[in-house]
Amino acid sequence: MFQQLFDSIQEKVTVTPAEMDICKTFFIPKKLRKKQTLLQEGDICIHNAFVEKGIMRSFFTDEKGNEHIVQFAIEGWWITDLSSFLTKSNSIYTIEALEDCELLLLTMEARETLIDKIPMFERYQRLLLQNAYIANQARINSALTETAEEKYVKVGLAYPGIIKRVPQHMIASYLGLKPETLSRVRKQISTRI
Amino acid sequence: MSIRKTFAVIGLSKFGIISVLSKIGQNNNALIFDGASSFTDEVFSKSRTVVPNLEVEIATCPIDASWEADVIVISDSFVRKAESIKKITKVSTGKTVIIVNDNEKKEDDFQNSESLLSLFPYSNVRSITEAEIESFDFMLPL
Repeated sequence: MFQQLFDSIQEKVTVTPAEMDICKTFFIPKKLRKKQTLLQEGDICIHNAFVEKGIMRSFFTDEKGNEHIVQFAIEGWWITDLSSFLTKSNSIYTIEALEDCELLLLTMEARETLIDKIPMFERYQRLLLQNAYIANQARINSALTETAEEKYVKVGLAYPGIIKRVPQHMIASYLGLKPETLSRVRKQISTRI
Repeated sequence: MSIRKTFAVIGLSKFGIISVLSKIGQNNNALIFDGASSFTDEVFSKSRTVVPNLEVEIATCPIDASWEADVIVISDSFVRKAESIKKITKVSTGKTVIIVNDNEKKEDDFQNSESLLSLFPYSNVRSITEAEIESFDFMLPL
């Protein structure tokens, strides 16, 4: 139940088996079925979720009813509405399971206590935030400068696991493209191969 | 808008299950488990008439039901007997666990109930009697 989390922590910092055992007592194990939500738009986000199994997405819905996907999270990734989680403000996102999922949930209070007990966890969280910031910057650059094809190819290379598991209309939403545009791009790529 | 909570209702009597389902209301989900499937089938049908729009399902495994749940409502007799209790404990970290005593609490049961509470060291444990279900607030913050 904790293997992916332990792998993720060990990849970034060194913690002892005893510290890992302490870690286990702070996470809420939670199963979500496909299409169940962890967070509903308008609610305060009280969990930072680590995905042990399955795939999640966060999205918002515009006034025309169109969904815009902000993030996917597969095994070994974290997902939350960081702004709502840190400031206790109402979330503008919904976080939903795209497959049956096994999650490990961390509340803010548990996070603070865990950091007190295992200071290395703070370094782990800082490295995660650093990586998330870099990824967000890359996403902004991509949105501003790249063509539809470049965006699709780049995401395919960076996250092949996501492309294979997520419906194409959701990939289009994540890239800020219309589904028919993505379909045309994919056709163009396949005729060149 | 408020997120739906999932309640696992495990090993309770027919009266206990129906009382819990009536209390948790229509905006939440319930997973009911009992070893005897004929019993849960009967309770399931009855629950449909008592709380018509409640999303209730019969769970096939108490561990999976507890894993999926935000709140675990479990009878003390199930906690005492079940071999699976250690596995349920593992998936109850950080959750609210409500242990329902099948009978009225007696003074000499106190030590026993203390040992029951110690089975869930990382959960928010409440212990109530079946008669107290009516007045208990099941929507306590998680």
